[in-house]
Amino acid sequence: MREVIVAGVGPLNIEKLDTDIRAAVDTYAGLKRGRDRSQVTLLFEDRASDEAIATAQGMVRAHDPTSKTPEQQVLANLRETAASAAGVALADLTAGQRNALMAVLLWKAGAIDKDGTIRPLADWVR
Amino acid sequence: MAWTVPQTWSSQLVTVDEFNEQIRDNMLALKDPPSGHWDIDDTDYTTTSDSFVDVSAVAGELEQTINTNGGDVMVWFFGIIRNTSASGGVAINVSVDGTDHAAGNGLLNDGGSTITVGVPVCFWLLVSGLSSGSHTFRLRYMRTGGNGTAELLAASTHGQFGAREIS
Repeated sequence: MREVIVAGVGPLNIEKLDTDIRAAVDTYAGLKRGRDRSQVTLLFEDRASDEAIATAQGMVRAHDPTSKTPEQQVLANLRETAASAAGVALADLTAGQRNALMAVLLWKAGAIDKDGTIRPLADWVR
Repeated sequence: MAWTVPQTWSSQLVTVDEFNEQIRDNMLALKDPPSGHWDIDDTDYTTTSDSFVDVSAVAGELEQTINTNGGDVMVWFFGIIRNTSASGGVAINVSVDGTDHAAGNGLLNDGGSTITVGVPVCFWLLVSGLSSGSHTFRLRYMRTGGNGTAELLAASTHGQFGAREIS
């Protein structure tokens, strides 16, 4: 595996950046980040070309940390709706709030797919 | 203090040098075996790799190189891990001189139950039969399930990774 350090980076949405690079560079194998938050290490298969590495490096530079993956967007929407239930008595919850609260619990259990649909039970009920 | 293989005594007069080497120096070696550890107490570590990678890219960080006398080494780790995705997990491994000690999902794999809050993990690993000389142990991890980000949560917790010769 080849490791390429990209220095001088700002805040990152690691999951979004990883998803974007995976979609663009087939020899990309992930990234890692440690104590030095000003740099990120990109991982590539040994056969990765210089062009592919340059593409990934460029994506790090152009990364928007406020953008979200589909899974993160689903969770953000759930949290927004569920947050409105905070401080509301159980008997006074609206149907929408109950659904959102249940969805948050289902998400924590790994039941919700990236597109917001329920995953097959075999994938999350052990 | 270096360890000296104990001599099998026969009928002979023991010199001061022999006594000091065989008794004093070996006692000192037993009291202070080759050992090292790294305290984890700063920023979180993250990866999206689906195969094992060193937790840290910094030399000397979350790795221990000790000069052993040959035999067994105990490697330990404790800390908090999590995967940011409900459908992902975190696997932990240790490399010995650049080779992962365990195949597959390594020493530990939470299998996807660490979402949101993370879980404390701890292991003691006996690495046996090492030759005498320098050996390097590194903490490694990867995400499992192909989703999310594997994290070693170091901020505000105080984990540790270390290695010590025990035989």
